[in-house]
Amino acid sequence: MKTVFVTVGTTSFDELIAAVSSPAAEQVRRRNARFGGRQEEGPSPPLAAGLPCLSSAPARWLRGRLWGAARSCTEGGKREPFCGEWEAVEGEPAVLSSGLSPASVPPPQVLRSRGCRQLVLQIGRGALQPAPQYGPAFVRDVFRFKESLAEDLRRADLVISHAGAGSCLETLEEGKPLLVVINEKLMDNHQLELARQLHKDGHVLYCNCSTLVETLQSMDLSTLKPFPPGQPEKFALFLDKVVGFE
Amino acid sequence: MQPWFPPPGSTGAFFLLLLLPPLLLVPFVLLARRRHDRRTPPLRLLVVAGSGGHTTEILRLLSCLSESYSPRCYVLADSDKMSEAKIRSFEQKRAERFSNSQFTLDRIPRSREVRQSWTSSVVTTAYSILYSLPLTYKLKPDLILCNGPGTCVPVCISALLLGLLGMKRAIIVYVESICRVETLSLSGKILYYFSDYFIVQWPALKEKYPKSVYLGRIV
Repeated sequence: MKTVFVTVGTTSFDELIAAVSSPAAEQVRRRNARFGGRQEEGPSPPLAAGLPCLSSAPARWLRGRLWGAARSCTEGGKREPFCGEWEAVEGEPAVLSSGLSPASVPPPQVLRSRGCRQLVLQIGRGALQPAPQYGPAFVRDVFRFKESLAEDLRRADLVISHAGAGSCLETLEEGKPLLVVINEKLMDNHQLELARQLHKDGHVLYCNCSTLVETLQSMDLSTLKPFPPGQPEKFALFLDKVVGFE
Repeated sequence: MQPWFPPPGSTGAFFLLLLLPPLLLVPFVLLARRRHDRRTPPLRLLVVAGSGGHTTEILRLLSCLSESYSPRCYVLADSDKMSEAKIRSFEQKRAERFSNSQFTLDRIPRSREVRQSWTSSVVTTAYSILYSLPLTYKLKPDLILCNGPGTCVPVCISALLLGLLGMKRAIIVYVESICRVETLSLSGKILYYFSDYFIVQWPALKEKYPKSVYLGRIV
């Protein structure tokens, strides 16, 4: 499973991007351009306290990143947004902006333990933009949109996608193993229907952001069945018949 | 007895009043849609393109259509950036196969953004209907093809109004997205009653909506 491609189509799905690019697993140190590269361990963001449901490592990282931006800067008394970059540093302890340490095994480590050496993130309209990484052992590419994802799909050994029809169908038609992640923030969450049906028919695995880790740990891609193509010619025949072109 | 005052939010009331006459015409429209004549080629086709997967699906539906469906008039939401590129690419490939291939591209205000509240959607949809009336009149399609984005409701309603006024009677074909396995989209629920042909791609929907057509998976 050397190359893993993560796609959110034309949507915004920050929770998934955060979940697969949590820097805690890669032993990173946050570099704050404002503070000249010093490590920062500030107090927990005020809204983070008292929210037990947001206790997973990726959620804490995401909270810290979002609320860390609101912390005031002491230099010159001006309130400036935090802007930092994540950088892989071997052997150093992981630090999250909230000052809390990760507890569980984060997804990227699971991916790497299954042989992933390249992670490609297509982040769409998301606000969260992880920095790319280029190292001898691991590469992370990040982009928003491309005219066609066909090349990235072809190169991937595993695709982790949101449940959009275009993303799912394109992936299945390339014959790639697909893990669909449901975005629980969508109104009425109709995407769940397609993922559930495709899963019932044995074509995809599916989960949500909170069950991503266990799915990645326990999945067996050899159980997935090939996906037969749709038949638009049937639609053309039907239309010819109803308009009277016979 | 107290005199009746207009409720607060008279702008909302104004738009609702604007929608009232078309809504009163609904029974007549439903009766009028019982039959249509055989058409002769070429057929002017109006295609409503939506964001993301909707455009991919609708271009697949178009992929096997013959040359008789020309010109293809694409209608997009004004906030949709990606669909135009996909459509131009599709039409370019088509022009390599068919020498006389023609298409046009028009934009209308989006009737509803993803996650927009239902109440404000009524106002924005009413505005989109008013906007699409002159466009539908200009294009005068023989057939309208749509597959679920909010953009298709105002276009179809404006086409229905034109048909009612005797200007152009378009056949409305709605293909529900492949994502819809057990429930219809909001556009689907509305257009189930207003379309000539309502196509679903999963058997569970055919059972729930008996007037629909099930052809299997067509995208």
